[in-house]
Amino acid sequence: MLFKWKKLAPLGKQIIIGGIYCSLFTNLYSGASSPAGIIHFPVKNATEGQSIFLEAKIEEQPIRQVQYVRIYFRVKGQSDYKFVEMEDQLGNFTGEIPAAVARAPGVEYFILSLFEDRSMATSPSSNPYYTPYEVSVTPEPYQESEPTSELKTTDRKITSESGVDLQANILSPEIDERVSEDEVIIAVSFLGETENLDVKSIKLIIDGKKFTSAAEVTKNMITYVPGKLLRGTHRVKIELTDIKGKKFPDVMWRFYVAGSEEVQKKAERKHPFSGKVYTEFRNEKFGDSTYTMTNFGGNIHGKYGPIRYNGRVFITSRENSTFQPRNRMFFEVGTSWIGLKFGDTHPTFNELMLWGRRVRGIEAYIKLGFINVEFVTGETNRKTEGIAYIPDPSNPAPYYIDPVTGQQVTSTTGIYQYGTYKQTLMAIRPSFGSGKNFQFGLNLIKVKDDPKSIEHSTRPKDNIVFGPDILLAFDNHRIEFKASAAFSLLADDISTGSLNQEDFDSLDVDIPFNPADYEDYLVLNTSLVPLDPTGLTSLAYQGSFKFNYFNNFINVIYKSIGSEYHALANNFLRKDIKGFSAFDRIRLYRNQIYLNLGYEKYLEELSTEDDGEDTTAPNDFAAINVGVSLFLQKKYLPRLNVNWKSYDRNNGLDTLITPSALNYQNNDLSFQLGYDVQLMGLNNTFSISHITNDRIDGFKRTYSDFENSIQMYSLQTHYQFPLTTVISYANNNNVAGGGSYGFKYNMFGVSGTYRLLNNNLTLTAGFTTTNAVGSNTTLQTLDDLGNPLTIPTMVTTNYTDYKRTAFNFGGNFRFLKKHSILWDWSIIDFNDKMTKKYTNNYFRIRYQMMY
Amino acid sequence: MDKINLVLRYVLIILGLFLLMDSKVIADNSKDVAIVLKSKGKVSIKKIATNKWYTGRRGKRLDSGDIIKTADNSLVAVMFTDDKSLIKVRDNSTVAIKGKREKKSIAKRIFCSVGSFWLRAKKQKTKLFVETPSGMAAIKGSAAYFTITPEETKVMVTDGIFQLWNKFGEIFVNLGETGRLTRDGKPIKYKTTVEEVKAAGSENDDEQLVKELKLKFKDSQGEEKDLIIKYKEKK
Repeated sequence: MLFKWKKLAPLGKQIIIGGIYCSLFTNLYSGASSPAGIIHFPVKNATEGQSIFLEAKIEEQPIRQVQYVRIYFRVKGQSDYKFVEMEDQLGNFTGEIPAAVARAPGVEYFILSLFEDRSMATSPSSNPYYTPYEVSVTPEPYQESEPTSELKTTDRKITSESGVDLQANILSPEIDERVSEDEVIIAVSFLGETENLDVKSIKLIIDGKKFTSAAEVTKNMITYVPGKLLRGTHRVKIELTDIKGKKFPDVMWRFYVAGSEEVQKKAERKHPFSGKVYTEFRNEKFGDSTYTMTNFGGNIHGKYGPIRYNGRVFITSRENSTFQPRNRMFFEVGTSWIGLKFGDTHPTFNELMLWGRRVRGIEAYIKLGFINVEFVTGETNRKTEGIAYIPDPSNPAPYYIDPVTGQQVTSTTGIYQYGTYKQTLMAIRPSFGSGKNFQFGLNLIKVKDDPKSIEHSTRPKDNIVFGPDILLAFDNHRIEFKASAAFSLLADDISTGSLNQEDFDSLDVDIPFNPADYEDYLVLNTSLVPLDPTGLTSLAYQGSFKFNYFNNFINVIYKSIGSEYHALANNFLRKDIKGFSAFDRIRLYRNQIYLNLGYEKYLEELSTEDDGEDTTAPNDFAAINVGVSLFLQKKYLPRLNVNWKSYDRNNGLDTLITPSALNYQNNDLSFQLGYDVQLMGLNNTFSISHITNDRIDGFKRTYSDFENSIQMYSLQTHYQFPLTTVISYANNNNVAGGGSYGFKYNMFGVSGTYRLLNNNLTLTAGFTTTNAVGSNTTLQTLDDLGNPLTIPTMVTTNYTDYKRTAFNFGGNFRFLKKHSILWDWSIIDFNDKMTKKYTNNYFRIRYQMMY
Repeated sequence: MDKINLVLRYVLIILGLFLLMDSKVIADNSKDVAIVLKSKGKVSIKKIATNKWYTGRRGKRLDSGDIIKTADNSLVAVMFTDDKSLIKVRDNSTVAIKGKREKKSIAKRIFCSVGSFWLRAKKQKTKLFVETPSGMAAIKGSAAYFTITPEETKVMVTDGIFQLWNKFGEIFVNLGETGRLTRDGKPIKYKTTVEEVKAAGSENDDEQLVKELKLKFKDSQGEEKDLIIKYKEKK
């Protein structure tokens, strides 16, 4: 966790600090035992343009049984999710939502884990796709009123609040310059009315820490030669006031420290490529079982004239032909107008049709501006054979023998475990216009299962989706209008092939051509969805409008997705819904205060409106969201984020008509406070978070109520020698079913990082202890002997009561400038009073070389 | 006569006081005119205030009148603090810089009696002057490589235009040309040769530290060949 520390925004670090978190509703409903679930503390705020780091833990499951853990994410208002796989770091899964996604109006995400036995766990555990976690995104807190101009010019005229003019010249490093780690010098010169500059007020701050006393400061210039700075991004700020005590605007910029060889290579241009290779070994001892894993990977990227190339490979010993591929291989080569990609590619044509799905094949593009063509073809699912029941020698079908238990079972298909057909995709998108101000595109996507690829499965499919999209943009996309439409046809079962014209005639369906002649394009039979396309139930369309002016960032989206719209290349698109959402992010008081407003109104399950059933009706979903973020410039003031969201679902039915009538209201409130303070000469960052979720049923059915309350506290301290420590405490309390189910969780952790040998050696150590109690309260009607009780009583029993203690040690050693070795070792002791106890032991070592 | 001498004495004292005050003001205006950004090998700086030599380390501030000296296999990059004009002094060179602060700029002069350096001047309100034993050069928003000996000065222009002159005349040297100043003749210019470009190397510092060893030998056919070994000395 600490190795990724530098990538996090300051407030992001504070929010997720504490290690392992809990929001486990699966346990609340399962009853007898606590099955594997995802433990995760949601992230509520992020900084624009910075990746969002997430951490999750799989409880009660050895790591080898986890097939994958993924973060599904989207920008708020988008229809579809993309995903990234989380990395397994000794039982903690970590991953990042890419920086490009962290933008207004916010990000939504959920975490999903697939296990080897095909079961899944999610966080949030209930309805994650429809009620994902929401993250508010605010711009970089270090920006001032003219963020873009400030960071791009090295010579800046600054005027104090009393009108004194100065010119501040950033001499070194230049803005965004890459400098070698042993050649850093920070220098800013002052010209103009320097006689009115209060020299004693000049302060130098690097990465949030003061270095004024070590700098040389005169009225003409401030200079500082640091010791070896860590590789990566560094931010400098100069604060100054005039002799009347009035502040000048701060001078701020960032630069990058790279290894000497990296900078030299760039200057010499002797190596047209760069990259890294790594190999990793992992050993896990879980109870009496031992499991090992080896990974190998690398990437390469470079440039040859106008041609850029980029490749990556990941090979793992966990690759298994009975599951979808875990190995990854990718290579692309091209220029800005023509290119080719091979291997595992993730094309993004259109949000309704194809949006990041992995395709193992070929992707190509030609982009001439006035006309462009994008094309992709390949395999989306690898064939995985299913497992059949064993025929019962003494009884014919539908009687079989279960291959695992040996018991007799009945089955209509004879399949114990369904396999996956080999699935291929072909997509093409010609478009007109470069996209800078205008683009009109036509999309065609075809996805088809190969029925002959495996034996033990049912319902292979054939799907075709087509439609247009248009983009209009002005003033660098500060005003943007987008719209797209898509129509789908799905043959839900092509195992019997296409019907011919005579077969359709016998069904009283008039078709002017023989579908069997066009089977290669689309299989047409009675499994077609929709059976009558003229009803437009398989039509989807959406439009969005973006407006970024006058300190407002407004985003309005309208969408309508038919109940029978199917795009196999976009499985996660939510169907049978129409409505709109509107978001606005308002910047106030010189970008120090942000106000986030949001409103959503959707009608879900539209198809139930005219289905003739009295017990079903569309759901009316409405949500209102208000948030405030403070990033005040005064250092002695804290950073604050407050968010409130209220949403309700109501299908207008009454419990007298149907017990499952939907009517509930949710209220979510989150509060985060971060404060930098100097105590005893040490730099400390203190943070508090408080999150509550409340759901109340409109019909007072207490079994569907729940409450959740999370508190987190953390203190990070930077010492005067190279040691950083983090102390954290987190508490989570869940009550559901009007008190029938409860789950309490608390965690305490201490960790430290120490740097030696000119920051080439980093040592880490940590300790965490977690306690959790899950309980059920039921009405007991029988006594211990099975006799009826005169007066039934409410009895609370714990289904889990565990304590988990973990020690971890790790380190990272950089040597010979290009090489590094990373190691982690963790010992976990788990003791559940209700079920079992075990000791886990993890060890991982990784070698990496940059070139 | 004695009265005149007395008056003159007082006048001289008062003038001297003014001069002292004036020189103090000039001294204030001439501080921190440049800074050492990069330094490799043996680089020394003589401070005009103390008349002593110091090591020219990264971050060393330079005042008007300070002298920079580089030894064998050494180089130093110095930036002027008003407009970021950059001078990269190569080995075995002696360069003095002078600058006077004006409202928002520094009027700059570079003096060099022997040595070589790259000079890249940003566009500025006033010209930057280079004084050599053979003549003067003035630049504004341009870059060139200077090679200076007691007998001649060569200016190989790589960007913009340089004005060269001495008591015998003046010329303008453009990109791709080399200007030559001598003590006893008019300034001349010619097209820069490939050998001169190679000899100058590039503005990239480390390439200037790469040395070449050329060995002549005869192969088995008796043909004479050159073996060139490029090496860098360890610091």
